[in-house]
Amino acid sequence: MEKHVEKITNIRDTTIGKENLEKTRTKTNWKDKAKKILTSWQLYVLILPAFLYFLIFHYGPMYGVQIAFKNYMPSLGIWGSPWVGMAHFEKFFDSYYFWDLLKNTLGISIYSLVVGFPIPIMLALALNEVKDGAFKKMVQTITYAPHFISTVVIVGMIIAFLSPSSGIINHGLGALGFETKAFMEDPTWFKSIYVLSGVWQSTGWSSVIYMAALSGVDTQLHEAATIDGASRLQRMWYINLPVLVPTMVILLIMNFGSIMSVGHEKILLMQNPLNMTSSNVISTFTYQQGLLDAQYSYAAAIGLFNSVINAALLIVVNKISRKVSEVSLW
Amino acid sequence: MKRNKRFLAAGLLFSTTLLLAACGGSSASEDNTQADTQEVAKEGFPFVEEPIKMTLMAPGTGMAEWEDMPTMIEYEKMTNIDLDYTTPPLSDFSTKFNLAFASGDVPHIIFGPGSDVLTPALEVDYGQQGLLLPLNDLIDEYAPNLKAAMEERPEIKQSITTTDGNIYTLPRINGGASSTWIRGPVWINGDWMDALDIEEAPKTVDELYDMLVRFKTEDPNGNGKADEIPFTDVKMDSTRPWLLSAFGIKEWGIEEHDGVVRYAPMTENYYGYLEFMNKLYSEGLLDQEVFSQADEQKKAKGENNQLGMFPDWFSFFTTGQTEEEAINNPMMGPMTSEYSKEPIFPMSTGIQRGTFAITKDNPNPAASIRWADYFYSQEGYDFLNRGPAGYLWDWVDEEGGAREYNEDLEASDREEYRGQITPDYGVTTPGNSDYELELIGDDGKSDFDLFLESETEEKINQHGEVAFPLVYLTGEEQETVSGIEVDLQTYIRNSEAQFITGQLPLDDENWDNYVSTIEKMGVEEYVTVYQSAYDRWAEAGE
Repeated sequence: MEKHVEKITNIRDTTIGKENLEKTRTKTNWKDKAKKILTSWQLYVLILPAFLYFLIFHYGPMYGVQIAFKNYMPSLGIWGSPWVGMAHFEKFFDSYYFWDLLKNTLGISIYSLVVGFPIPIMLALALNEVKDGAFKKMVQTITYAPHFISTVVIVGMIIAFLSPSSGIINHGLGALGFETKAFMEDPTWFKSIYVLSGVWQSTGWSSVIYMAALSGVDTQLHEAATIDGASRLQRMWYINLPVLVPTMVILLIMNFGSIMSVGHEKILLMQNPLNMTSSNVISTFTYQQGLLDAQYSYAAAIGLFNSVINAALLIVVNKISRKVSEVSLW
Repeated sequence: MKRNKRFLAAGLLFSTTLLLAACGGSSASEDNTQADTQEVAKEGFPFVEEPIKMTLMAPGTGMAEWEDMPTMIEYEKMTNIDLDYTTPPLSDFSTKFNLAFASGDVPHIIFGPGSDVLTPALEVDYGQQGLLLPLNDLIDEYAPNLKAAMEERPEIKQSITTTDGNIYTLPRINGGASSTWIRGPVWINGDWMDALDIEEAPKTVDELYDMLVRFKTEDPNGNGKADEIPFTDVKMDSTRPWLLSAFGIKEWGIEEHDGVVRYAPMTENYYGYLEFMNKLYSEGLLDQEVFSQADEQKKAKGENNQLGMFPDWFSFFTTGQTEEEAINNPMMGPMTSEYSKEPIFPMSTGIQRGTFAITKDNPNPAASIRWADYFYSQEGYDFLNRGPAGYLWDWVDEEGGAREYNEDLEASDREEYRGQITPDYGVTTPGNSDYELELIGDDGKSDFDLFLESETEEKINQHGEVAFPLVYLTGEEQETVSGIEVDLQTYIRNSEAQFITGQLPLDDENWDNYVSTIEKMGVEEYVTVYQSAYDRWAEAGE
């Protein structure tokens, strides 16, 4: 088919003047593409729902971002509301709590990344060494389970377990002769409780993707290494880990892209007046201002500020990674 | 080829349905916005000849669907107004309500949000944008019951009129024993007082201190263990207002004394409060978990008979006792201290704003306001509160007006049953409960009701003062205030907890820092705004 078309164009090229040549080329190329699409239309139908989903629910609403620069009034609508420039951003930067919010948000997400990122990898590597069987299944189920418990219940459990008067942890500490501690009331403990309970919630689930990557390792590599006398640890280090690196890097880059977005749900539930100095983060502030006090424009400005930083980090980390490890998102 | 085309067509159809589904939400609301022009009767039922369809949004308690509530079904028959209810759960209502306005898809009637959700600031904002209709003329013409109540108590009009002179929401007017409570009182464990021969609730903070010390050390629950928690609360929110009054403060924020507005949390009086509370905390008299525990934990302690003093709407909610037993638990009364020689107690205005609003697309505002006005009459409020005949109660003699309670219901189940037949349960509905509800059967006031009335009269009403009247701010004032307010509230909440628990020692240096931080946040401007709002309010009453 294609060859046939080319032949025709070649014949035409000779007959039509040079000016028209380029025009015809692009036209034919376009036609080529259209033909290609048509021949493999099944693939395009497959991708269509996902494409529409992103278009409608992710790109469509983006026009609303302009309210960050406007004074949004519901009666005037998004287009009709008056422009105010950078006023909302200035208000946020001048806010008394700005630096606290920034510090806490970054503190929590970097802490989560440092602690929460390597643990699923270790779990996956360890589980990979265990023979398939009842024990492995049990460990996997136990580690996945917390992922399916809702945040409200998780936080309820945390508060109950850590209670100084009735909590299991303090009872344990007391039995061992240590002093009991009001963990939830101490701002220095807040980040650790948040991050460690997060690890408990998500480790099993996050390890799934690494398990999948590990299942793709060629057994011949292991056999060859064993013959060469490599120990189990050496095989993990020289065979399994390198297989995981591309997955790790991609996930790391994506994690950097959401470093400013610490979810408000769990934090709001864990917050109390005493731990506020470390639990006041950008997302809880936005929730308070935007949805409860109905200052939509202000909240949108803070959200946009977050997204810009996230996007910038994503691009920078991606670039660094492409240079250093040759793995990157694009 | 033909088959391919058919597939393509199917794919296209699929994608267009998706698109249509995405846009469906907004197009639906447009076709029922056309005005209904029929004459609205000024008295009697029904309000209109032809039935009108309208949409109503209200917080749901989850006890029953509103369209299944006998009260609403009966009222629809009486009025000829057919409502379509949207009732997001109470806990989520604020979010859903604000989203409805932000998206422009606003229901015709807003019912029972209360001023926590439809805040005075939003009233002014949405009102001036024209999203909420001004109700002044409608009240004049179509709301005789409310109008009568407003003439009787002029402060109602003063409190619901916004800065531009318009009224955008109708109030709930409260009567009855608990109407002057700003929130659930603090109750003292009567059994413990008996065990220690303490005659009456403390009258000074020193007496309070002594009582709490005895609660802690003398084993009043008699189980031989020192497990008594003399005083508890959840995050101090419920007891703070009552305790502050012992130090001459009526409100944890803006308050008014003789026409002068001040910000209480930076006064010497507040220092006194912090000092006292810190003493209670450090000596173990105040629950060590006060800032981190949840309501359930407090209740568990109450049911365990571990609590000496605690807040709740009624004491038996915490202790799990019966009403009769709860009569023995006295209410904490006003106290004096070196900061406040005269007893004062914060008192509610008895008016709740933001309980009913009509929005711009409402097809028939006159009929809507008549719909709400009925609840401001004695008959109408009775109907709203207890539902129609045949459910909670029935006629014995319809002519003579004698009624009796449904015999199948235990007295203790009546309240919960009410939640299934009427929306006037857990929701701040419009209405006037200033009337004494008629007695049903021979069921007079219970001993507990009489106990509540006498406690309220003796302890709250005699010394009660309204901390700050219900005012409105202009859009500009609101803008100034809202930025400062969030910072201030976060800061004083955090600092109070730190000072009380001793995380931050209450010394001169820290106190000076605290005050100067509040000043830096712009408290002066904040107070100025409220001073002028107060002045406007006072002027409107003259």
